[in-house]
Amino acid sequence: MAFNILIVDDSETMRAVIKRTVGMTGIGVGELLEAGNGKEALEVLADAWIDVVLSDINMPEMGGLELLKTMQEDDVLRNIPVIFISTESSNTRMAEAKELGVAAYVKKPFLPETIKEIMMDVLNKAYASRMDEISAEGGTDQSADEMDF
Amino acid sequence: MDQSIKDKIGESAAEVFSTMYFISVQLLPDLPPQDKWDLDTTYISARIHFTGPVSAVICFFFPGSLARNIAESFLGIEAADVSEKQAVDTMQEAANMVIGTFLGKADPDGACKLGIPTAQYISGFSPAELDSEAESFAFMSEFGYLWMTYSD
Repeated sequence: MAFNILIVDDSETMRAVIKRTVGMTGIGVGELLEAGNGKEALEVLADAWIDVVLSDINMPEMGGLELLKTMQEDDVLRNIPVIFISTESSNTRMAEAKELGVAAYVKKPFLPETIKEIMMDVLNKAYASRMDEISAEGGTDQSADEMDF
Repeated sequence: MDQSIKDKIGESAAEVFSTMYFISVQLLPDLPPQDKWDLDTTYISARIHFTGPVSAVICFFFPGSLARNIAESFLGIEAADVSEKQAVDTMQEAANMVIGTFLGKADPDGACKLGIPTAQYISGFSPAELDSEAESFAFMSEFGYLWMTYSD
């Protein structure tokens, strides 16, 4: 199974670092798309199917918290898990992100193993939740067991 | 400046450069003497501030060769082909991570707010011209000294 991933960061180098790290995780990657801020991310999300968003918080024009808030207000985008990858690691900021519905939080600087662990956990939960929804709609009787990527 | 602030900035810089860029950076107890400066031909200054119960402006001066090496490794291009924009962007993010990591250690409750960093190429950099109102520090790296000023 391959996942489409959107990386949102105003630094081109950091997007490259995250891309390389995601490549090292062994998680099946379909399309790996990029955006330089929250506003650009919403444009990508309007055009492409994305399975998970990896976003910075502190960005010009539209930051990660505003992006998450906007996604939560949309019936479709609210189902896409957002993982924050940021230097902002204060308790206040993390509580704010959690309240807005962030799926997980990774502090920069990060180790590839941390990204792998968190992405697998988030994607497993998202997959299980989606399967539950489909079962509830009567679309299939497929088990919502967690997958190993 | 409190010694613990200096120590935490030193630890943060070492953590960021080793974890993200596999480069060793070490805060020096004193500024190196002028005859040891061995300055790079280009430098990138990256400025970042935080505000709150404690506020400060921090300015890093990174050797151009350090920026090009990191950009080369992560963008997959030759060091000579690294654009000014890419080198500046790289060091801007490094400054953001160092001070963000520092705030995580010094201000875990998040009373201080980190600003958005800015960076630019500078020519003719000399540590002798660093802001005399600010405290100056130097870090040792395989690409030469990195310089930093801290003003509160």
